[in-house]
Amino acid sequence: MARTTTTRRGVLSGLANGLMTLPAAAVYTGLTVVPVGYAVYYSFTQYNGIPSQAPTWVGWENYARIIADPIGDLRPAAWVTLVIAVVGAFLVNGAALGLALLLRRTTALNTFARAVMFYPHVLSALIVGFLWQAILGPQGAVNNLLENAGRSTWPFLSDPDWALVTLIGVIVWAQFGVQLVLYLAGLQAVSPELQEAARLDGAGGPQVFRHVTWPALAPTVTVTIVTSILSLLKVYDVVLGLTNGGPGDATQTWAYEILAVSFANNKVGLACAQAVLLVVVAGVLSFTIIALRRRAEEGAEAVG
Amino acid sequence: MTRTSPIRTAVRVAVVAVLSAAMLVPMYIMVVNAFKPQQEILLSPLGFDLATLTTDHIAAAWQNTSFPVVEGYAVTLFLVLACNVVAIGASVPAAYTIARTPTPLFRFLLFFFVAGMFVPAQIILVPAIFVLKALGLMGTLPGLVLFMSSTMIPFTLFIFSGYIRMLPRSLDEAAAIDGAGRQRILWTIVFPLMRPIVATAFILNALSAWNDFVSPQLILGPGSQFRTITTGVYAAVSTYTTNYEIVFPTLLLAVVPILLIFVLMQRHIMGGLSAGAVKG
Amino acid sequence: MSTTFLRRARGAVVLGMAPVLALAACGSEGGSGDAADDGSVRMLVNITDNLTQAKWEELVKPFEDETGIDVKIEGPSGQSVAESFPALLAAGTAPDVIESIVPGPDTAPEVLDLTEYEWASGTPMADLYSTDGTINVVGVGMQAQSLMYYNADLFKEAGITEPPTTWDELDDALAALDEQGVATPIAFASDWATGVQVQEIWHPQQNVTTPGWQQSVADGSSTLGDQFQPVFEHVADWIDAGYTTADDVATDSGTQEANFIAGDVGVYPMGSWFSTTLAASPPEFEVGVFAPPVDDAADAPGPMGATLAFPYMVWKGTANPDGATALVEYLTTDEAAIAAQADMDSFSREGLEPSSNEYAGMVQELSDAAPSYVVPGNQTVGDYALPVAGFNPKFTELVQGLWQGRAPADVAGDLTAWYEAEKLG
Repeated sequence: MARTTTTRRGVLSGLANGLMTLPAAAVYTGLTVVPVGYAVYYSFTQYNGIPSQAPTWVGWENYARIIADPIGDLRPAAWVTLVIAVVGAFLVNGAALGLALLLRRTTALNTFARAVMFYPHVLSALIVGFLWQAILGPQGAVNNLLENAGRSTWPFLSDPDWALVTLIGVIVWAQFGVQLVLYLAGLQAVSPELQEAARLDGAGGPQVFRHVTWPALAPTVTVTIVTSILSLLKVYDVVLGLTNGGPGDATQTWAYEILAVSFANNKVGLACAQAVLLVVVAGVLSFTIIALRRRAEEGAEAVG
Repeated sequence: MTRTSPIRTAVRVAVVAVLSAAMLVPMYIMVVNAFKPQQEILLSPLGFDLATLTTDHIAAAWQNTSFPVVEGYAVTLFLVLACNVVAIGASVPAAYTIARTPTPLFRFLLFFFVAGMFVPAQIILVPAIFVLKALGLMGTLPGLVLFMSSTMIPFTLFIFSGYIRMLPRSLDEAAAIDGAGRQRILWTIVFPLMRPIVATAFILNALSAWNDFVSPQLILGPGSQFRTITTGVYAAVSTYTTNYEIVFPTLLLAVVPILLIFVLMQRHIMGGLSAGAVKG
Repeated sequence: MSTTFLRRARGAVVLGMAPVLALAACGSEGGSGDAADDGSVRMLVNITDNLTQAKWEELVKPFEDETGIDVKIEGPSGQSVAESFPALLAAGTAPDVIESIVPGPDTAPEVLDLTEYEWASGTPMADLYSTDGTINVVGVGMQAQSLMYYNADLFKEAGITEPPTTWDELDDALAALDEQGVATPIAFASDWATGVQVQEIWHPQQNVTTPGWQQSVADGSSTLGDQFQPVFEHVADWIDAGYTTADDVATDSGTQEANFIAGDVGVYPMGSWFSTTLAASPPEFEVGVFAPPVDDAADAPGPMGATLAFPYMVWKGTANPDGATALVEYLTTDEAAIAAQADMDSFSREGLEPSSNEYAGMVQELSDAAPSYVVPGNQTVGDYALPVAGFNPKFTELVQGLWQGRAPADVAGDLTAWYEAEKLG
């Protein structure tokens, strides 16, 4: 008797638990998990996305096409994306950490400066792209200044290498503010006593940073690196505003390739294969970084 | 602290001031040039001549039918609020249950949700279109809200469950003994304690909803009368990227309100973000 | 304690209910995307400087008044109709009538066959744009594409008396302009324009060498690379000589047009629609137009690359096929509608009063002088379709490589490789 009540209570509470997670699970499954499933399925088909026409199963053909890359359009996009993700993440984090150290103390000027560093992030990437295109384009503000001063112009957006560097620069400008806030928060968590103790032991500024501050920041570093790489891997809006992928294909990112090339040309099968690969790459990169950082973080716990 | 020399402080202040000014140069260029005719923008991009300043181009941008500014702001604000309500409203009970039920099933469930953090939203948009179409939600605001919320749920749920785990269990156990139901415990005891992390999630989700371009672009499509700020700006500017009489005024109209909001809420936004970062 | 508690409880309940309320609210205001069954017709059109939303509304107004059918004009959500259309088809929210693009290999099965309508066969270029005798796109006239606008004052200053007719003469003319210190002897523009411009200057000679070249490529007797390598070499020579620079292909066409009007450009290859722009802001110098050159003066002028002006197609899935076809019939056959469209964007059509715009008049003369009209590569349509999608974006991307110093042979090779891969996949 007593036993059945507990079982019933167990079932009921299980049911209640299920109900509590249901809304989140339903929305997330319906619009993220199922689409990923669709993407995997379509990635093995040749399909133009038109409902009245059926997908044809082609096995690994789309993936083979991506890897063989017969017309040399996907490998450059993969390369561009990787450069943006790695170099961009490095610069974003470098700038954010440097400024966090500089703006650590809460003074009126520093509070103002923090807001100024953060504001590009509220503008939206597309608008940032258009704005910088107007500043750095062939007839943009900077080149007009140079021209009016009788100097030769700079090909910020018209030379393939420059364009990629410019793109990364603009992304860093727009994004490091968020990581700056995370670093500032991380710095608050660094024990002042430890730092003071280290200083009393005769350690100089750089040494305190290396042995106390940096290890204590380890968890923050992991989070900021992973979040910045994840957001850099899907860069699209800013490209659209700044270069629209050009010149040639110099700034076509993987996401641009998926949305503006494959999908826009009715190649849904290929677009989905590209999407699946990007999801895999994002996952592998993130987990690798988290695994690599684990040791550093263990160090942090020892210090903290 | 006594070791900080006045010279070092002065250098520090100078560096901060210069960097801040540098960050603001693009804003300055945008504001100044929004009030100048094209010829002058080309001749002197940084300066301005009081005699030729004009609001004509701002007025033209304001009246541009491809970017209805007020409506664009209304739709975007609606998205920010609706997505947050859905994402936070759905994540709180789920995160609470997951955090308080340490069975393998729920541990797996957490993993299932967290995996979504590694799925870039814009990338699954193409297949998501097929799902939305099957639901009859393609081209509608509810469809857009559901899609954007679903991309916010993984992170929101992840930081919530981490936060709830740090809240003492004794709190809800005591309430349970008093006979409070699970929903009551969640919404009257746990949820109020989650305020800092809810604020963080709200700000992050708001920023991502505000900045989103591809989702509204593809899900709403040209058939919808709704334009967000980003899709409106794109429609107004993308074919005229070097007609600065259109670019600068349109961008100015698009950013001024959000910058005002940012300046007013700056302390809450930055504070909310860092609060979550420390505790989450 | 109890008041705070109550307040909190109430707040929590409201918050907990909010998602449900919000969704319910959304549900009632949503569903506005498709409004097909109320008898209205949705038409997706290209919105440009010349073709504004207001002008489109005005164009269909008499039709609405006469039939009582409400026409909803929609601008593309992307940069162009071509980019928006696939997403709309995938979403099942395609508009009833689509303006500005022609059926491609993927989309042809999705548009309505208009052959059975008598009025359709009488529309301009209907036979050139048909597939095996099937008409699925109709337009109002012909727009010449192979045109070189030039600054006659600069030509005179550089000592060029006659516009060039052969490629050698064109090279000489550009050299003379450069010598004279002209900032941009020949201007190309960014995005879609680069591809279209390079193709249009090549149509005449290309169709002299290989009449119906699209069919030769499709049946394998020629390759895309072979078709375009000669023009790539010409362009590469101009780039080497500094007549056009990498900045050009990062500058949008609107700006290049303004540069031409400002007198900084010698030659500007662009379609007939540029004459409307010129008429709207006439330059202070004398403007001339010449047909792109051919190799041998005896062949001049060569065939003219020409496109269907205002192409309309009807979506097969439309809920209102009668209303949609009636609208297209009105737009392509009603005299007032045709005249209104000619005012929006100039084109030529038999029986249509030539435009009073002097620039359009010059274009008309060249069109009349051309021995034949040919479908350009970027409008792969009907029997002259290349069996690939996305030709112009890819062509543009590859051809921009010339400005980055890529060898013409490499660009041509990539073009062929792309075609082979796309044709299979």
